[in-house]
Parts: sequence; structure tokens; C-alpha cells
Amino acid sequence: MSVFAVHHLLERSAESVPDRIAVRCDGAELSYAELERRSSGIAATLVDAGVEPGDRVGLYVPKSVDTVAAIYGIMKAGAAYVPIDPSSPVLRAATIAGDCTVAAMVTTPDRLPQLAEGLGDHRPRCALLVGDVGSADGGSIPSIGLADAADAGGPDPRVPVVDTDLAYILYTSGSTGTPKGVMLTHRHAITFVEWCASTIGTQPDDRFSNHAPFHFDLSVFDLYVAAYGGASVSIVPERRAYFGRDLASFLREESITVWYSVPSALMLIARAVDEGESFPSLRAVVFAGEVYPTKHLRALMSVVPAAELWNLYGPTETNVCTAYRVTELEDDAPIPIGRAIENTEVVAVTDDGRAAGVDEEGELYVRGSTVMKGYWGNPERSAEVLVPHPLRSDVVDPVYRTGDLVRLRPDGDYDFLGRRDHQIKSRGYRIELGEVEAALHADPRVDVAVAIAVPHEDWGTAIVAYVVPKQADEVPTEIDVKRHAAQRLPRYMVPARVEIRDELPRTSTGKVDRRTVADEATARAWSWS
Amino acid sequence: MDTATSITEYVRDELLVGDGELNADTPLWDGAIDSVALIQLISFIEERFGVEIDDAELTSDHFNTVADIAALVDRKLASA
Repeated sequence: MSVFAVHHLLERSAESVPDRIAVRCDGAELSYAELERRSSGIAATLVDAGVEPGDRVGLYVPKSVDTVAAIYGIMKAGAAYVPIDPSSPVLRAATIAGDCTVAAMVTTPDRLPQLAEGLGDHRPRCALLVGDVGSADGGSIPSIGLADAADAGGPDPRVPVVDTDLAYILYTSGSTGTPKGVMLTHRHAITFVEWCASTIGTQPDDRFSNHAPFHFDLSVFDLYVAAYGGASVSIVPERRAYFGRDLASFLREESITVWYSVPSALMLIARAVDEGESFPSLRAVVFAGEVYPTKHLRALMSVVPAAELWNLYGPTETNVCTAYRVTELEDDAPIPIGRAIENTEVVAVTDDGRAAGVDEEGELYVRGSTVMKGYWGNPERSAEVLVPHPLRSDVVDPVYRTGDLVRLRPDGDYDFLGRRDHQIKSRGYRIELGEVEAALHADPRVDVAVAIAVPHEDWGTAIVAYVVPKQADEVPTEIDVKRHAAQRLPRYMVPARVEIRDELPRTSTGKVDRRTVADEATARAWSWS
Repeated sequence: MDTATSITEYVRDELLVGDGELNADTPLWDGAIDSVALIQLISFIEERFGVEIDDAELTSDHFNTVADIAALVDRKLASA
């Protein structure tokens, strides 16, 4: 069969290897045939409830094997799935679900009332619930059990889909305080998956891990490269994700052959491994999302001696656009991000508008089938980053302007240098400091707030907030400020430290002197660093 | 105050940013706290109870709930 939509990968493997395990999570597992059947049941239920081709369906639940069935079911219904960080506050989830006017929500009964309230006038056609449907109070939103929908088993509604239809929308941090929805099509995912299959490889006896949350594009690799090859994917239970020893045991128990995650998770593993221990089943270790400090990468290589190592690079807007195969580390210099993957062109452009030459610095532009369609409902912001080709007038498709600074090496690979703006990465998550500051300013007790990125050995960066209270007689504590911010921000964006100050240093023009504040924050020896 | 109560209070007052309920048996890792909070929690336990958490003890079995953490701390105190 021809494969041009993401769910075709599942259908094909359900035909060729129906009895192989497709997904495992915390003791539960589904074969390809079962995953195919359950996802068809979910698709049929959505279509019956009135979900139409081109609609969006929100996914705000912890991971499980049926969450994976729901993802495929949504795509089979011709809709795009919108994964929302399950640790996000309901207010943020409602903002995202409202922004893309979801036609249905997959969520839990306890979150439905607040979600319905947060959506205001927008009423999804149904809610698919994980857990006790009887206990749900979604107002006028009809509720159906996700497991019941999956158990019904179809038939697959066979909604026509073309490869340029949206498959999913991934919301990333927005500098103005509102998350922005990156629109990605079936073609985007398939282009990337095909490159992975041809370089990193995938076959039925492979066992992929899934460490990244589903709203993070690393999960696209885990789920769909596995499905492409008829391999299985083992989901890391949330409660084990922070513990290196648990991750190391998980790798062994599940006989993982291909692992993909942010470097900070791999650093936890490398640190937890005892002398002489290694992971013989691992044949490929792939990482992305942040820079892997070279000395830590060396430590990892000593525990996974047989594995191929890949450093992938790409903002969510391009999924992945460059790759670098790590072979040996001669010194402690940062490893490159490599060069363009298949069906993708990248070019670094200097400040004066030329293609950067060897050893020159430039901003990276990306062209090809992995570049997003735009930000949902935000043509202005989309037009700022999807621009005409900076060097070629014959190219009619827009090119994505990453905002990332790179340097071209003599060997043709690129080195990553940093950002042009206030966007940062912490534990692989992309964070706009402007969104953190907007959430801090929403606190009525806060007069002035700045969020600073402080270098952190394990996480890349940690966020420290400096806050000036509005009134001297109503000074919030550190945890008060964090709690208020946590009503609007996902956990990973809540500042690790909050410093309460009477005033902040100012520049001669009266603005907060970010540089001085940042220097102070960096100079402090944080107890957790 | 027993170990579990003392840890529950610390987590509730200093680490928990969401509005969920917390008792000794609440799973901590479904969004209640994160890796930043874990490091703060370990420093708190080491200071308050005068015990040292070894790397080998840093596992989800020991840190899944406040009750699990308290059991670990009490075991260490008993054998000290």
C-alpha cells in the first residue's frame, strides 16, 4: 500500500506484522492488530460525534497504550491531534484548546469541568474520557469513555486524507505570553520518518523507547519510526523518568534497541550506571533538543560502546532539519549539529545577506518538506518566520527562518552557536522568557518581574526570576510566586528560583538592566547546581 | 512530628505548585513535582534528618510517594 499519511504506517504494519507488539506502557501492551482495531474504534466514535475532516482534537491525558490508540484514531478521523502537556495547568490547556477550537477533547473526568469552563463559549462536540465517565461533569459536552470507544473496534471510517492535511499541531512557548501552535502535516512527519528509516534504520525486532512527552516532537520519531518498521515502542512511565537508575533498568527490562531523548535524560542514565555495566541491546542512541556537553557525551559513549550515536537538530517548526553522526570525540569542543537531512536544504545567512562561508557565522534558514505550514490562526507571526528564500529568487515556497546562529565548518557541518532572541532551552524544552515574564506579571502582587536563564550543567539552563512586589506590605514568598505562575505555565517553565527584591538595577534609559541581573544570577552559587 | 508528616508538610508548603491535594500516598511524579523539586527535596531530607541519600537509592521505588520516602529515611535512621 502507498503510505502518505501517518496512520498508514500503522495500517501497513497491522497487515504485515499483526501479532507483533506495537506499544508497551507500564505492563500493558497492544499488538499492531489490536492498535489498529482500537484506533479505528476511536476514529468511528469521533466521526459519529460529528468530528469532521480538518478538525482539531485535543489530547490532555497521561501516556498509556490507549493514548497512542487515540492519536491514531484522531488522524484516522481526518483530524489533527493537539497534544497538551499533561502536567500543564488546566488554564493553559484551555487556552490551547480554545486557540485551535478543538472539535473534541481526550482528557480525564477530573479535568473536564475546569476545561469546559476555560473554553467559555466554545463547546467541543464530545469528550473522550480516560477513567470513570459517570463521575464527569462537562456541562453540555457529551462524554464517552475512551476505552469503550476503543473496545467497539471500528469499523475504520476511512476518511479521505491527503498528505498536506494537518496531522498534528504542537504548541510551543510564545514570546508574547500566549503559546503558538506549529501546524505540521502528514507529509512533514513522513519525510522525517523515511529519512530515519533509511539512515538509523527500523525493523520488526527493534524496540524503541519513548521518553519525550507527546507534545514534544521527539515523540514523532519514537511512535512513527517504530510503526514504519513494525517495531515496538516502550513508553517510559512518568514516575520513572527523573531517576537515572530507573531509566537504566527500563533500558534493560525492555531490551531497548533505539533510544531517543534529550541529553539530560541520557546524562542521568550514564551517571547511574555502575562500573563495567553497559547496554548491549542498544544499537542506536539519538538525542536532540539541547547541546550535549562533550565531556558528558564521552561518559555516555563508554556505557553504550556498541551504539551508533546521532545528534539531531531542528526547531519544532522543522521537526528535524540537520543530523550529525557522532564517531569520535577528539577534544571537549562542542559537537556539530551536522548537515541537512534528506529532502531538506539549510543555509546560513550572514548579517549582510550572503551565504556564510567557511568559519563564518550566520542565521540558519531551512527549506523543504519538513517545514511547518505556519502557526495556527496567527498569519502575522507566521509571516515573520516563513519568508522568501534569502538567496534565491527562483524558490517560490517560503523558507523557515530559525533565529538560530550557526557557523559553517570546513568539513561542511554546522556548529550551533546560540539564539538571536530571548528563547532558551531547559531540559530540552523550548522556553520564551517573555512567556514566563507575562505569567509572573499576571500576579497582582507583582510590580516588575524579569526571567533570567542561568547556565546549568545538567539542564542546559535553569530559569531564575527576579520579582519586585507591588506593595511593601504584601510581599509574596518564593513559593507564592511559583504557585501563581504555575496556574499559567507548564511545570518546566516555572522558575526554579524566585528572588524577591525591593528594586532592580536600571539602565540609563530606565529599563531593567537585564545584563546586570543576569550576571548576578549567574554568579550566585545555587545550591542545586 | 513523624517523618512522613514532616516531609508531606515540606512538599506541600515549599515544592508543590499545582492545586492538587497531597497526602503521604499521593504519587509525586504525575506532574506534582519535577526534577528541580527533587533536588530541593533531597537537600531538605539530608538536612532535616541528618541522613545521606546514596545515588543507588535514587529510584522511583524510594521516591514514588511521601510514604516511600519516609520509609527509606526511617530505615536509614534505624540503622544509623
